[in-house]
Amino acid sequence: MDKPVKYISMVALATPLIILSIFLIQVFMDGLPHLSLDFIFGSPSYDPSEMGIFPVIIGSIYIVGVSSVLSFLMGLGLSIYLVEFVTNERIKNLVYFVVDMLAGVPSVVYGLVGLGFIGYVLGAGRSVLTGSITMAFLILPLTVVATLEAFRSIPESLKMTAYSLGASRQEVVANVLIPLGLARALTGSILAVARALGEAAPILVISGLLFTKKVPISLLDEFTVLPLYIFNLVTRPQPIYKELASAVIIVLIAIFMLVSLTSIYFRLKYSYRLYEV
Amino acid sequence: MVNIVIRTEDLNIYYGKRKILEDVNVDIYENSISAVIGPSGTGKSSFLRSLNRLNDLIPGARVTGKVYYRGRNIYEDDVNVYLLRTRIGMVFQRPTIFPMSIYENVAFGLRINNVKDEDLIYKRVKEALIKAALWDEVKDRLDDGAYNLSTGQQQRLCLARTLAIEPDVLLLDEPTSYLDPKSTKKIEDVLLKLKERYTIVIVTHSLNQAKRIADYVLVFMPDEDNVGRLIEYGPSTQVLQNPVDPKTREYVEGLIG
Ligand SMILES: Nc1ncnc2c1ncn2[C@@H]1O[C@H](COP(=O)(O)OP(=O)(O)OP(=O)(O)O)[C@@H](O)[C@H]1O
Ligand SMILES: [Mg+2]
Repeated sequence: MDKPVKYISMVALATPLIILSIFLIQVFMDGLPHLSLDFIFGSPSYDPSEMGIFPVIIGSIYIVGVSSVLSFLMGLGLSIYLVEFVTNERIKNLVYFVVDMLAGVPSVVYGLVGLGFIGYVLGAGRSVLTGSITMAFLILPLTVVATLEAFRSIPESLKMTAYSLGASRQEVVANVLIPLGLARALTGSILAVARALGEAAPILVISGLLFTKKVPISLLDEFTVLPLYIFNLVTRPQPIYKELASAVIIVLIAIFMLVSLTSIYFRLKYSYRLYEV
Repeated sequence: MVNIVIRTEDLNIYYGKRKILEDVNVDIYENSISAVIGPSGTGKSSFLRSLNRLNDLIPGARVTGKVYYRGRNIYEDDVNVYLLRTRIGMVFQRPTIFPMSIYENVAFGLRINNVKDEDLIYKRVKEALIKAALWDEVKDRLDDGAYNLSTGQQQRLCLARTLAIEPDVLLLDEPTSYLDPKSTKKIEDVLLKLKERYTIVIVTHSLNQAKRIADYVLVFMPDEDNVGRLIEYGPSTQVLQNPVDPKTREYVEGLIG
């Protein structure tokens, strides 16, 4: 490779990494001193020294958990339908088009539509339920891509073998597609979980809460999430809040790492070779 | 009097608008091995797939004409294709192995067909592996992954999997083309034994293989428009040694000599 090209690409690669590292070091230096069990398991307070974020952590986990499961099931259903049941290319392309379009819609629009339709028309209010369903649709393009990719990676020859043994379409789905594709579909969908974890805009619209002391229990409870709380903290002028925001960012990163590690664990545990034919 | 198990009448196969096989009229006899030979792309695999309606699953594929299986046209609307495919089993060119144990690979067809009795499943798996001449090699490691078997063993595993659901007809699409001579010989010996109880149709690129195992030979050849046709069929010795059609003669001599 040309020397100059090599250096330019190295600089191009290094710059964002360096900036990211500086940012992370800053966050950890500011945030770590504030991290404690009281901080994690405590309730939000107007007094910065007594501040806790438990209801917010639960809000985030609740929203991410419910929306991921919902979205994964929708993605699974849609992919199976596309891979094994639709033979008409036009219908397939139409579905791909709609999914692509969903991916291009700004997330705040999801929030507005979600609040308007699920929150007000269907009457679910500014609840965990409204937030989860909205978020499920927001990350649907990612879960569809992940599950589709998993099912497409299953060799046609294995499906044909099952059919040649007398399997119906349903039996091929139950005995070939799902057992051979599920692990890959799940790990691929982790990206979607990460996206749901980090989204603030649609939740800002739906929940409207920057602050809550109440831990959400029921699906109809109100809630707020970590990114929104970070947003809340950094908009305050006093420097102490910036440090607290860093502490919340560390918690968010920790949850994200946990999700990623789980996915790596499953990927290793359920990986097997599929012969391409 | 030999029974006719499969009879095709004016069988045509199309992919989209393109016709690839024209007016095939042939009888397949019970307890015999019929070998399908001919140049690449003449529709041998497509022909095989039309006999158990696996072509139904290929986008754009269309079949016209009639295929009688034991007297019944399998292209009639009320035919249960799933049941049909359990009667007419198929083995593909490359071994198609599921990422499961040896045992579960053979049991796969039984489970799909809702056999729940584990004792029966074990019995069928064992019988099938014995018939496919694989039992002695795998009986001590039935729970091992099937990928660890050699390609030749994998192909016999596929044969066993098909045998486990007790079909009547076996369709084999160049089952030995990826195998070494020793593994090929094993499969051929197995097929020669199996024909006492099954009716076998095998596509092969090897005239020697046809010579060694076939009772009947079907020769497919493209016509001027590059549409495949059955130009000759009959007892193996006659077709291979004394062909009527000059094109068959050319093909047989060109490849052997
Ligand atoms: N799914 C498909 N869609 C469109 N055309 C196809 C399809 N499968 C096969 N064909 C075409 O139909 C013709 C016959 O194919 P087929 O595989 O039946 O031939 P074959 O005799 O088995 O060839 P080979 O000896 O190479 O296996 C070929 O020209 C092939 O390109
Ligand atoms: Mg072929």
